[in-house]
Amino acid sequence: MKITVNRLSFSYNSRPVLQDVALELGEGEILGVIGPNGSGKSTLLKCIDRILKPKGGAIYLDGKEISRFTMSELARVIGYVPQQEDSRFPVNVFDAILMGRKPFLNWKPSRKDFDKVSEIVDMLKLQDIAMRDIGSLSGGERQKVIIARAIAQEPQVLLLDEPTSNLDLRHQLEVMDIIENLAKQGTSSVVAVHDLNLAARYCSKLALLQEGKVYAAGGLEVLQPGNIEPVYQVKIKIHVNGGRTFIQADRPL
Amino acid sequence: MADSTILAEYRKSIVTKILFGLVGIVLLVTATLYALAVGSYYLPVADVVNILLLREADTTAFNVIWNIRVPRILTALTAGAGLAVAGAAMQSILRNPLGSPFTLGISSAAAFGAAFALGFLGAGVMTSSAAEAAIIINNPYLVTICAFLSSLVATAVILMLAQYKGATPETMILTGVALGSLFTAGTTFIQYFSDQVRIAAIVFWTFGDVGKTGWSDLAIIAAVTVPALAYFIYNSWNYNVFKAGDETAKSLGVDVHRVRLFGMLISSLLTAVIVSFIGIIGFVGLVIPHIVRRFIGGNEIYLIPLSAITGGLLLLAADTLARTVIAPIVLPVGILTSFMGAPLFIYLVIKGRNYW
Repeated sequence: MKITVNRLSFSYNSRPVLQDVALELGEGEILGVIGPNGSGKSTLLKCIDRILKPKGGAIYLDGKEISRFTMSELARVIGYVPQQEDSRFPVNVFDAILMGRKPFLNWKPSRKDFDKVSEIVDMLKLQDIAMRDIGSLSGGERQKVIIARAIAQEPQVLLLDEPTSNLDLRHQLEVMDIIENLAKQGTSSVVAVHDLNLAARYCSKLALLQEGKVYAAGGLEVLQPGNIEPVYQVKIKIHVNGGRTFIQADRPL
Repeated sequence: MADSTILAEYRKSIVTKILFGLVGIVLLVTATLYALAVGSYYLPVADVVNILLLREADTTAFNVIWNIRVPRILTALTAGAGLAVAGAAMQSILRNPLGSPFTLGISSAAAFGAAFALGFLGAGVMTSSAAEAAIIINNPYLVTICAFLSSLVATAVILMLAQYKGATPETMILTGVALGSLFTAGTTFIQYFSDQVRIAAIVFWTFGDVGKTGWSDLAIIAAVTVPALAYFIYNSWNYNVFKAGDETAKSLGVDVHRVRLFGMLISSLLTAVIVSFIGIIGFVGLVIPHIVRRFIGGNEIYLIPLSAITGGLLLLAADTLARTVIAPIVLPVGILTSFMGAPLFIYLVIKGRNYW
């Protein structure tokens, strides 16, 4: 599904968080949204999923403005993976993933919903923890469960807010691989990432935000010292090895 | 697709939940028969069954069963179920494990509204003898409406905290405590300006006793409890999704504000109706959902109906105990639930997040 963000603005109270953000993303593409803390990455994702109401501008999915979708219509198209989530009540993994079927439910899950969830459990290799309480899982396992829930929505667009930030190396790669595999099947993803090396490796497009504005957008060429250094206020070195780009943060400027 | 092992395992966990419900129902029937039999006028269970099946009529026993014990028992079952369900719904809607009509101050607010109607608006007729004073509610609608309006004040404060301040469970409960004292002060104020007999009557009425309801009162309580239960069960998937937080719930297509508003309104109405007829019964709404979650987990679609069964069972058991423990004195069940519930509440607080 094609996503078009057109001159989007948002402010918390009167403090502008996003200003005139414009982005475009085609089917099966992964857009990495990068930028320092507070640059508006999470807010952008929340506006796309209509969790927050933008102050100005518009967002289109395949040409249709998102405010013209009903809440459950939108939930059948967009899956959202928040930065962190804590439950104060016991929920087992299977039920947590089943929540992703909520937009399709009339009242209670059907045979199809259960089948779908068990398929996803198999796909993400969550069999061993499927009956455990999510409170007892490690950060990486929990993140996978939340992604599994978003996948259960059968979304055409996936929004992920720093999906790898609390994970160990293996889980980081596993999570990004899942996103990559979904992209191959046509799911467009918008991923807020801190790790520029992961962004370089997995994203087909990049948008660099600075204080709510798009500083640079495009392909991997965004990752060059001329962009990164002024926005992040760090001196960086770029290495290319085996066809991959690696960014090394050297020292703060 | 054939059942995967995961699906089979999941089905098994559902069977456990249904089994829990069946055991609950069996215990409920047993407890009901026992409660019908015991008391100052003892009847063998066989007689009870005969009277229930209308094989025996026009006896004292018939009167005791049909006009005293059956309404009392049904009131205990309905009120217990109603309070437990209101508590379960509030806990999920507010994402607050310590939430319940009582801990959020909603019960006290409802009691104030009811006392206001009884004390100032003349909704009660007093009977007084040397031994006891009691208020007979002659206008149940006025009392209930006042209780509901007053409970809405507490509900509005709690809702605003949840909606706009993103309050932590602890903040919400502290506010509930403050609201509770405020409305209790209001009730005390009404008592201060009442004559002695009326004071005694209001105090007695706030105790929380399922023995003062007749058939018509019971009908009103049930007329609210049953649709409310259906409403909560209908919304159980919305509440399931609430547990993951407001943003996630929105991203899953749930109109968070609307569902929360209506859920709180209905649970407040339920609380207000129960409180206006039987007074404050604390801790049932708080503790029952936790007990049920312990056994069957957090899935609302099972939690809500099973909380209803367990709540009814517990309040009936407590009331039967209250009737018999220091017989011939019949204790108001509210005193007993507080004795049992308060330690459990403290336990939940201490056990804290390990359990939640």
